Amino acid sequence: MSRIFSAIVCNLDTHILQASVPLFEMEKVEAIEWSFDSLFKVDTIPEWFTDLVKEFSDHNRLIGHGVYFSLFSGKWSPEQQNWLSQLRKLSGEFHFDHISEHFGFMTGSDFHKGAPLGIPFNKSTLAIGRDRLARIQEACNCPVGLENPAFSYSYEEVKKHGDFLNQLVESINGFIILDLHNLYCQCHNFDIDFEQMLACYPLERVREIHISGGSWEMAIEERLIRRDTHDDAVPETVFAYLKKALPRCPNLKFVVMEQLGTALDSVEKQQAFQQDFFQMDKMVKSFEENSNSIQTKHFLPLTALTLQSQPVEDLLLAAQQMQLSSILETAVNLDHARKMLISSNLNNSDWHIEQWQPHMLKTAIDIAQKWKDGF
Amino acid sequence: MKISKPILQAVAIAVALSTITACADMDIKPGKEKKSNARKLDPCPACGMG
Repeated sequence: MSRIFSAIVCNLDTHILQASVPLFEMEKVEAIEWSFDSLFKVDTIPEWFTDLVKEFSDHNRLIGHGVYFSLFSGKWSPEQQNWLSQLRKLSGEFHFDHISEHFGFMTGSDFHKGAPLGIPFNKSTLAIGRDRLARIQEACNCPVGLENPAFSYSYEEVKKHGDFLNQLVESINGFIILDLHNLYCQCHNFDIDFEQMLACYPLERVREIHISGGSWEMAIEERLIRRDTHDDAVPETVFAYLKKALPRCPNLKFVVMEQLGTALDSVEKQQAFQQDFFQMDKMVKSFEENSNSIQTKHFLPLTALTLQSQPVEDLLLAAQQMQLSSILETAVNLDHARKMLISSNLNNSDWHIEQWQPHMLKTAIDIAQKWKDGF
Repeated sequence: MKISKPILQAVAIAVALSTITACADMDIKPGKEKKSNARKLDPCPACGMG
C-alpha cells in the first residue's frame, strides 16, 4: 500500500519553528513543505536550517512550494528567469519530491510585493500557464503542480477552476494541490456545497492536500467573507472536508498543515497548532489503515518537453493586469473601483467584469491594498 | 520521521536565540535602514495572502 505523509509547512520563521520543534522531537513530522523562494534574496541561509531541510531531502520527504513566480503574468520578466535559475540551483542541492506554485499573477515591482490575483480563462492564459509549468519542470526535473485558488470574482469562475487546472497541468502530466481551506472559502463565499465543488476537480491528479485556517471579514453590508489568511486554527469543517477528500484522491502522497508564523506568537497558539497537526495525522493514519489504494501516477512528463526559445507572452493581458492591479490598489471604495473598471481595457473582455460579485470585488480591493507595500 | 539529534539540537538552540532571518528588510521595506544579519526573524508570508 502507498504511504501518505503528514507534513507541515516549514520556513525560516521563529514562530513556525518554535511550534514545530516539539513535533520534530516526537518524530511526528513525516515531511516538510518549504517555500524555497522566500529566501531567494537572503545572502546566507543559516547552516542549521539547510541541515534540517537536507535531512528531509535525504529521506525523500521534502516538497517545495513556490510563492513568487507569478505564473500568469502576461509579460515574461527577468525576475521569473532568476526564479527558475534559483530553482535549478536548489534542485541540485536538495531532492524535492515535487515542486508546486500558486495560481494567479502578482503585479508588484518585485516578487515581494503585490497580491495574487485571478486571471481570465482563455487560450492565451492557458498557453502562458503551460509554458511556465514546462519551464519549472525543466528547471527542477521532478513532478510539478498547481494549487487551487482561494479567491474568485464570480460563481461562473469558481465552477471552471478544476477544469482549467486540469488543462494546465496535463501538459506536463503534473499534479494538483487540493487546498481544502481554499475550497472552504469558495464554498462559503459563493454558497456552494462541498461535494458539488469537489466534483469540479480532477481528483486523480491530487498529490497533495493542504489544510489551514483563515479569517472572516465583512466585505460589504451583511456579507461575511471567508479569507485564506492562514492566521488561525484549522476549522472543524475543514477537518470534515479532509475526511471526505481522503478516499477520493487515489494518488495522494502528502497532507500538509499550513499556518503563518505571525499567528503562532504565543505558547497557546503553538499548542493549538500542534493539536491540529495531531488531529490531521490521526485522520490520515486512520484512513490508511482502512485503505488499500496504490498510487499509480508518477506525475512526470510522458514525453520529453520542448521549450519554446522565447517564453509565451500576451502584452494586452499584461497591460490589463497592470491596470487591474492599479485599480484595486488605489480604489477608495467599491463604486470607485467599478467606475475605473468600466473605463479600463478589462471592460467587454474575457475578464467578464460584469459577472464580478460586489462582495468579491471589495475583497480583491482589500487583499490588493493589504499587500501592495510588500510584507 | 526521525531527525538526527545534532540537527534537532541546532534548530532548537537557534530558535531559542531567535537570531534567524527570512525575508531581508532591505528587500521588502526599501524605505528602511539596512540591518545586520543577526536579528529577530521577520515573518515570511509564504502562502496565506488571501
